[in-house]
Amino acid sequence: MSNEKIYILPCSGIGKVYGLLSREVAYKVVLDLEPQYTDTICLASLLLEEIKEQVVGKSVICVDGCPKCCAEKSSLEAGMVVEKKYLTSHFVRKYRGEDPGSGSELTETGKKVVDDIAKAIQIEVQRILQERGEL
Amino acid sequence: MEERPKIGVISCSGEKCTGGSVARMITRKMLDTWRPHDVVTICLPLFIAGGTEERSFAKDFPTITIDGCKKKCAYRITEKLSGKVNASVDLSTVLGDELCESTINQEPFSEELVIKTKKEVLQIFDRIRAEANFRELKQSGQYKGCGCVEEN
Repeated sequence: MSNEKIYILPCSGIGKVYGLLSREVAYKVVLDLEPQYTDTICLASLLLEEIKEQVVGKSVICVDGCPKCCAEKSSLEAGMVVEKKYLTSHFVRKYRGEDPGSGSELTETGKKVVDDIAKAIQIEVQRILQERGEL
Repeated sequence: MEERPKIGVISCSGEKCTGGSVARMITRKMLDTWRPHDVVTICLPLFIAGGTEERSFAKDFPTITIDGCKKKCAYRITEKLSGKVNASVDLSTVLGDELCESTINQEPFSEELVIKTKKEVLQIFDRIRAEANFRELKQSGQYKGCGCVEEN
């Protein structure tokens, strides 16, 4: 039993809504849905040597906004174990024709997308915890 | 309208602390309302995930980094992976370490923090903007060493 928190790592891409969606998803999971079992970390800090030492081998769920998968690649670069990855742009497709918002602000549709992804991550977190024998 | 060289603004966007969110919001404000025609940005982690094109960002644009805490991730990573930056803003010098490093919580994020930093950020931006314009003028051969500019 590790009792280690699972990191939720968004790309926080700044140019488009997909990055903001990823960021809000991470906050939804870490602050609302699974605060006991999850945490986040500044993605940019993973590229600093002194932080890499703290996170190497730790479990992470990545939430990326686009297929460049910055969160996933940065996690792997830092030596973390990527348990699962999500692309916010895939979840937006369900709401085809609706506007999810911009890089600065989400619309009601954007908030629904956040809820969808956060719920999917919550299920994944519980699966990981069950596998570890912590639930 | 005359095409002016754009200025790159890169924020750390740190997820864990308040300063990172303020840094991100400042960059979005620059893009959306404060200097919408003069700013370009790039996602910081693209320096790792992207290719040569992304990594040449700080060489292609005069660049300002905006960091949410004294770790200065945006500044350090940009200098390491992309190129020398023209200026850097550490929000902890404006808002204080305690606030900047405080963990994000469920309280609604206050835009007041962004407004508090506006003057300082825009002063730096406008200085870099003026320097870039001056360089452009010199390179184009229009600058004559005084206040006069030769029209093409």
